[in-house]
Amino acid sequence: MTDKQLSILGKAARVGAFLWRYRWAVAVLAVAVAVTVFWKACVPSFGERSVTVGRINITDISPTRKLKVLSWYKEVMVSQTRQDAGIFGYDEEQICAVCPARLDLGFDLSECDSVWYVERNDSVWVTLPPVTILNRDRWLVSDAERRIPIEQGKWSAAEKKDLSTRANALMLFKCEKNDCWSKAEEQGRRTVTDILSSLGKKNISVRILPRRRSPRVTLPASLSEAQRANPYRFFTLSDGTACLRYQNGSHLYYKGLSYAELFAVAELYYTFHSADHYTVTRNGQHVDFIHKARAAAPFPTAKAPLLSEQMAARNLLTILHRDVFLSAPLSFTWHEQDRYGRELWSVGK
Amino acid sequence: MKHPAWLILLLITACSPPSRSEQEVIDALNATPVLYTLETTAEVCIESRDAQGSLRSLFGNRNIIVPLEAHIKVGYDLSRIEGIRVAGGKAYITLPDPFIEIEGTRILSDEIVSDVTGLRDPFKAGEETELAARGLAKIRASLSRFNLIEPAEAEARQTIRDMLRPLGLTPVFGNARSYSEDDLRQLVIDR
Repeated sequence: MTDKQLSILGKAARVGAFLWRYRWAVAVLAVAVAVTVFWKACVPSFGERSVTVGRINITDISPTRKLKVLSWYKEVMVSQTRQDAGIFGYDEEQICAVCPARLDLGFDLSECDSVWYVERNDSVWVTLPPVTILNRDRWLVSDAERRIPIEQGKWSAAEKKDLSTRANALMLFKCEKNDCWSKAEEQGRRTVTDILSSLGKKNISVRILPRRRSPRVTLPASLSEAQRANPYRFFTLSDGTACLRYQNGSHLYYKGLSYAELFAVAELYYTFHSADHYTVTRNGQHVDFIHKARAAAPFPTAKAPLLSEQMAARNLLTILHRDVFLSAPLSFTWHEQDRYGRELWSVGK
Repeated sequence: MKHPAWLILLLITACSPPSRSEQEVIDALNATPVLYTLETTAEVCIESRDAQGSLRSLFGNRNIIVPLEAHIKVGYDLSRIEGIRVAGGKAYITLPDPFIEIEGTRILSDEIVSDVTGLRDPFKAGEETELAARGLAKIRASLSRFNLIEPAEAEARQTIRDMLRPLGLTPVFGNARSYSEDDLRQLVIDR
């Protein structure tokens, strides 16, 4: 045997002697590790628990006069992804919720004024209040019936609450996009005509007052209202560029977008990305998306994540093209920049 | 039978299921007019605790209280009003049975209290949802015990009275129905 091999054998013997000397401590440590692994891996976290549902309190019983003419049921999906610096680079964690939602549209009959019904000779004129959302507090989703198919990592209470808030906002946006309001107006007109016809009235003319404020205008009246209503804050910069600042620190700059487009883009960014800067500029029929990483990665980016990022960008462009920019055939380019504004790669659609 | 081919074609057309896009529209949109006359909010707290004397308590505690709020509405399906009769300035109306429904639920995230110590994992959103679902089930089962129908019916009558007054009609309602416990349970419908 060579000197080197003898040296290795000597070291191994010393380690063996050390372990033998503290064998009880080693055994206890091994058992503790085994039990912990067993506990974490094998025992479902929700077993052996006592669940008590408390007393139900009914509050705020209030009579109401609301005529619902249209309901829209839909499941909305919201997700959030974040990257945390781990031992081997960035760990990506995701949470995804599928929330059932229902939107009720109709008329608040208590808003009818005294001359809502006018009858002269054989003709009848009916004036109805504007179509409104009848859901209490404009809350459309059911938290207790949602599904969380993906939940990786630990999420704070504020982030969990944000999921429901964004699902609610997304449902409102989809209602706007699918033109539910005009369908509700049409249905309301038909309903009132049917009711009056059954009472023997003829030549019925139904007028519905216009909505006081379009829900498409998502820019709120004040900053405090914006913070209450949305998970992001609105600013306008000195050069006229508008900006959204999210709670997680990311920024979205935009130019030339309509409110509906802005709202949808903002929701999509919030769903797909986190904690970075984005700029969206629309010049006629072309839209540029610029993503600027705020911090450099602690480790060099591998090729596979780069490809997946490009794929994600391409998917996002597809969604934007399909769901947001419906009005015209547009071209899109996604520019990926480093923290100094140098272009790393770009994809187009 | 003069035109059996036409008749068969008509039957096939009538019996065939709607196409997928049609079915989606039917599922998504419900255009039945409904008059809501009462709304209220139910609140409940769901508490989850580790079982006493559990071996798991060696690794720490994991307890939580999840408050849940449910929005409840009582309404009438106007398409089920039948046999309206108008005679001599009076409209004879029999109200259909009302229904009670839960419109939406909200987990009050700001008020969740959790106590997680030691090696135990914090509660996940999925677990909170599972607890909230238990609270929702209890609210749904208890809805028939709350006195919601009488005030809803009184408001429905008053609403119809106020709406018919400009038309020069006085509504005459059929006798109010009294509901047993079983009847009330039938009135609770799913979303």
